[in-house]
Amino acid sequence: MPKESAASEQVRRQVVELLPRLRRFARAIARNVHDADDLVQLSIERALLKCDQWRPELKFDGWMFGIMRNAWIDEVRSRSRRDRVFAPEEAGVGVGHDGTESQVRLLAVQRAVADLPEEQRLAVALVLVEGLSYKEAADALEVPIGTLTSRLARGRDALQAALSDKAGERS
Amino acid sequence: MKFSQDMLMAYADGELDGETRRAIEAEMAIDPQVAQEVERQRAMRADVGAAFAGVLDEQVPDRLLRAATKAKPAPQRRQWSWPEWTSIAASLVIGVVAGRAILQPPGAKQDLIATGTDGHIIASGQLAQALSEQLSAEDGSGVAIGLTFRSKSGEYCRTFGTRVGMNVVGFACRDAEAWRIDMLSTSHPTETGGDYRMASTQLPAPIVQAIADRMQGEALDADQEAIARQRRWRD
Repeated sequence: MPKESAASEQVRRQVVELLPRLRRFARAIARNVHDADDLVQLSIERALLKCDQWRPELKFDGWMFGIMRNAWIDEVRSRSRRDRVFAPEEAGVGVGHDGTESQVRLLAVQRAVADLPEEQRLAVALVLVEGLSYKEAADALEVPIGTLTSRLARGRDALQAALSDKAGERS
Repeated sequence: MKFSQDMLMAYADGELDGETRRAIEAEMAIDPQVAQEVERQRAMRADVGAAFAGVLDEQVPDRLLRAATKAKPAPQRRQWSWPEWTSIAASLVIGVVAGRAILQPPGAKQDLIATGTDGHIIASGQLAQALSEQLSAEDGSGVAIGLTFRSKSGEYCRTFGTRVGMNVVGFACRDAEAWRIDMLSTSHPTETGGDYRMASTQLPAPIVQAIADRMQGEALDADQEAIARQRRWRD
């Protein structure tokens, strides 16, 4: 087998370890599981191609999320399955067949995130889903930190509004 | 309110330290409206986190693992479905085989595992044969082979799935004498009979993790796999 460069070996290993989180981030960005996994796959391929650009002083998750954000914007988004209404099994985040109240809530939150404008959705996914700091999230999105916090704040407001509407419909 | 909403959001997200944080905490103690706003921000963070947390427990699709290990997909692989294999399997992993019984199918001519001379658990019978002879693209009699890769110590390792009363998946590495079984996981037996072959392509998270720790370089593609077989899994 050809000898692999140390950088490529390191990136590969970290990608494998990070796979569950890459899928989670993708699920928050794309609106169904197929597009999400397409996004992860394309991002892995891109990361391996540019593995020489990764430096150990960079946080690997932030670096990968940046690649995913770019892959989403310039490729996957345009060919994503357009239907916005996804079946519960497509939402697929541990939603069982018996819709308990907490599961209904989870689904409502997922949908509210899916309905956010893209810039807000990315900010919400990085900070609230993946737990990145504002600085890390701003770096991954290549925007100033003030832009990140304003998108995040607007995203949160929109979620709040969407979810309290839903609560209103139920009662 | 003395603090902007953005400031309180930053506080709820753990972004503030030092003086500002203490000032907000003091304000929260005297102004219920401030405390309520912080609580609202925290609750939203928790809700959104919870809504996607389940993805971490899902099994990683084979195609993504292959993309990361750069193995080309085996040709003519069938599309298998095995809905019975759920993430619950991950909690049933037995790093070291706890009971041999699970690998002794009733009426089987020969056990699929045995204890090696050095006390390791090794493949025998049909399983040993499949590990030595079967390519991942081939349909075996009762055993499916998934990825083949080299471990850091240079051994060839292969993932497998089989069905012996219940579905079993794991990986084995070739040492000087035998296929040593390093990791094994089971799923519940199902009445409909889940497809063991799926096991070689949909690995539970702990096994994926173990492979990530052990693997050196890329997984073998179909051509490299055939060459390795020809060399009897030695250099």
